[in-house]
Amino acid sequence: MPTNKRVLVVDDNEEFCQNLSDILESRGYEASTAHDGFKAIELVKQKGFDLVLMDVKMPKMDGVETFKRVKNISPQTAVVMVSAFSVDNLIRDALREGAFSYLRKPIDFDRLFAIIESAVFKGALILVVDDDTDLCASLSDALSGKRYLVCLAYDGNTATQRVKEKDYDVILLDMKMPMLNGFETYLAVRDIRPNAVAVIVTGYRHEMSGLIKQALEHSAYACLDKPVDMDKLVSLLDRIREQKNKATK
Amino acid sequence: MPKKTEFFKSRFKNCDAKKVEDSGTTKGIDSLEDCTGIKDRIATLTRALTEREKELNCIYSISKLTADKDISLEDVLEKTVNIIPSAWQYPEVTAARIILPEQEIKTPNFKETEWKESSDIVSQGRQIGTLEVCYLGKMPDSDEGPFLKEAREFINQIAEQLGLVIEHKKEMEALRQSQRELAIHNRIAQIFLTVPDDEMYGEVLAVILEAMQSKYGVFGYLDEDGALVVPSMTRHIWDKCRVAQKNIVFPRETWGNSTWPRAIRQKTTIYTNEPSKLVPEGHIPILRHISMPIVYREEAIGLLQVANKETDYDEHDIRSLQVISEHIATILDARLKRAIQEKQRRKAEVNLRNHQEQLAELVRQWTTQLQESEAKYRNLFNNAQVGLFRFRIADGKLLECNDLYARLIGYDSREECLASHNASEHYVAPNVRSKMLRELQENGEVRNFEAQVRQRRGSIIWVSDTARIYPREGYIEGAVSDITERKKLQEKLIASERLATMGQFSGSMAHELRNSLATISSSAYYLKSKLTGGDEKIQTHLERIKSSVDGTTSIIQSLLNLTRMKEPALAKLDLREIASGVTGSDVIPSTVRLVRNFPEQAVEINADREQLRMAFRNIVDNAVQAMEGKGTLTATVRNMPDGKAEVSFTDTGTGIPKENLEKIFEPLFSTKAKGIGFGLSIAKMVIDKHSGTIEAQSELGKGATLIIRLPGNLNK
Repeated sequence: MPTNKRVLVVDDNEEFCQNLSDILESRGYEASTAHDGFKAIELVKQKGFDLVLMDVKMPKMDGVETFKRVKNISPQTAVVMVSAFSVDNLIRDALREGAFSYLRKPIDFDRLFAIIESAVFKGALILVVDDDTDLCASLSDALSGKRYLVCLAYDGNTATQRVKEKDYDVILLDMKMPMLNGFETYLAVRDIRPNAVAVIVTGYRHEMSGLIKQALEHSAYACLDKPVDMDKLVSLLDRIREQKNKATK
Repeated sequence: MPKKTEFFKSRFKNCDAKKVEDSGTTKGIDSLEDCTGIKDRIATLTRALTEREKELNCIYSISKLTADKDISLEDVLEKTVNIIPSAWQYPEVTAARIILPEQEIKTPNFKETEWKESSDIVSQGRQIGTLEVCYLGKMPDSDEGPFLKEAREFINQIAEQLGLVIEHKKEMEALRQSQRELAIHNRIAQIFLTVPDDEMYGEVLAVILEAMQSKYGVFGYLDEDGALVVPSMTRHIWDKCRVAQKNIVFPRETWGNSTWPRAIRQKTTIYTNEPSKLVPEGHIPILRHISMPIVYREEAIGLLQVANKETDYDEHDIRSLQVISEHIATILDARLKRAIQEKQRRKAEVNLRNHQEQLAELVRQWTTQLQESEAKYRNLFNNAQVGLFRFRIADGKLLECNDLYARLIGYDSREECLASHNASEHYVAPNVRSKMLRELQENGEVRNFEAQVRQRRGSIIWVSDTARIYPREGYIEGAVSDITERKKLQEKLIASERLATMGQFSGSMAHELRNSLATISSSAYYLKSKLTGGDEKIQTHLERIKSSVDGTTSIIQSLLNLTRMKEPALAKLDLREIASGVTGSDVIPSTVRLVRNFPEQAVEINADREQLRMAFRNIVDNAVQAMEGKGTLTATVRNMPDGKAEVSFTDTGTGIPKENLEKIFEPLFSTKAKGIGFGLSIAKMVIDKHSGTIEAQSELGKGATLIIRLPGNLNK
């Protein structure tokens, strides 16, 4: 049960803002509210938050702009965009800039808490993309624990959807998949999260060498062979995490 | 012979005869002496009488000669000159000579002596010659010298007689000559008259050659261009001539400088008795010839040539030919002129005929053109792709129309339409015709006048009239086109514009509503978490709030989907993938059996993934609801033979009544108690935007099938 996590709710709809605050408090979070962007930035500067729920459409300064400034002040703060409106391009922008996720109004609270939990998780968020469900399950079992939170996707389309929902630290990507192959998936992911870190996992290094080469040229982080050497993987993940923490601090 | 008696009387009037008579009658014979004297006198008288008798005989002979018509003048003179000495006392020593111009006729013994007596030969009061009588020697002296006084008179008598004879003979000769010429002229004139063609030249030439006693000749004329044309050559010279190039037309520039061209150019007659050297090779040899131009009014109009007479040509021949030439000149000129006129007339006739033919041809062409253009315009009128009409203003009767107009109004034929159509019953709205007429009268025309028109069988169509009024003729004319389709499109456009406006409106509405709903739902969530373990009814109410919020949210989303649908962002997709995505276990309740009929190979299309997913989702949701959660849903994907891609969803629900098969795609049409029925409208809009078709088939109570056909990916 997470405790003392500080959440800032930013929304010009004061009633909704207060409701969210109440709900978060009732769940044990320390919640603050702001009704416009300036106030939000002020609070971020004063207190520092683990998470900001940011309404997109606000007068004076919109949520995306506010988010960018917040990210500037406090890079380690996760920001989840909230919108009553399908302003896809604004949300896409925010995700590319590093917003953790987004939510639509009215809020799906189950999803909200799932997002918050991953956002404030101190270990590494890992997405495993592989059509081999057994491999996915064993990787999930092997990695899940204090240091890793593992999500699964069995095909490329699902993976892209998942990437929109959370800002994963590492994506383990199988190369050979039906429909969208690993490289196509990688490109789709990069379209949403330009800074996504992908590690290619393949049992067909030679067959898929063309695609692997392309992926590595497009900044895929590394390539591992199946069967996966777990020690190697863990050390790789740790190294990635370290680099990321350095970058945000 | 009274004339002779007369002659004698006159002859002896001056001689002693009178004395004799006197003495014989008055004195008589007195004595012997007297007798002797008488005897002498008788002797003298007898002598004288003998002389006179000789003279008489001479004169008689001469006159006898002159009376002879058949004897020529030369013969007359010849004979006369030989008779003359016999009349003299000593004929053996007497010689005679007649001297005429160019002529001298004498007795064989004639020579000039000192004893000469001469007398002038006079004709028509003019001396034309001389008659001479000479004694060849001295005669015995008579009392009166060599020539008696009587003899002198006798010479005069003979000379006078000769003058008469010559004159007579000359006249005869001239008469004969003119008769001959006349005969030639007549023959020539006859030929000119009776031979109409160029044979004439040959025939005339034949006459001339005969008259001129010549073997060869030429008779030709100068044509309008000045060329010498010699039709006579064809027949008379051709076969003898060896000249290679036989031509009867000699253009002026080819003439050269032989005699005949010179004769023509100089308009003078040239003749020579020397053989010609300038003849072409092979030409018959010309020994002597005359080249004579035929001159009329000082113009050379033709040429006469005669050649190779047996003897030399002389001035006489020239004169004869000249006479013929002059004679020919007038008639040839007339003939040539007539020929020219004839030629011109014929030419004119030909021209006239040509002109007539041209004119006739022109008329024919014009007529054809006129007919063609008339047919063309009639065709244009009848086949025009707009309806064309002419209405009488007074009562609206249709006076003229084309096929399309008739069809437009719902008639099978023009004739039917013309028979029964009337503009006054034409328009749906009552005052349209009067409004149109008013506009026509004000402006003379109407353009794109739109109105609804009732067709013959009652259907109503939209038309656009463009017409012009002809008040004097009492009708209006114009064109009409069926704009029903356009009007429908317009309505569609208006509807879609309305939708777009609604989209903007619904966008901001949705935002406000969602914010409110967010507050409601968050409040409900908070209450729900705080009121755990409390009154169960409170939980139910809180649940109800939550599900109402969800329902409202989905209605808002549908509305937004419908009104704010973007143009599809096309990408190459596999229809199987989309169809399988929307029939996943997260969508289909486990109580519904799912059957997928997908082909092995990809069914490629160009489509917007999200839109298509949304459309299919709505269709699948609809099917599941129709089955009330139990039954079989069959999804089928296939490539059509025509290159299209087809996907169909079949449920085993209640089915759709026939009358509703098309209506189910209309917004807000719903037979369900729940929901407001945007789903299939959204699906149809998506499919429309993808240029596809969607249709529903159903048997009531057995379920329904929705079939979607999309254009295949042409670039595969």
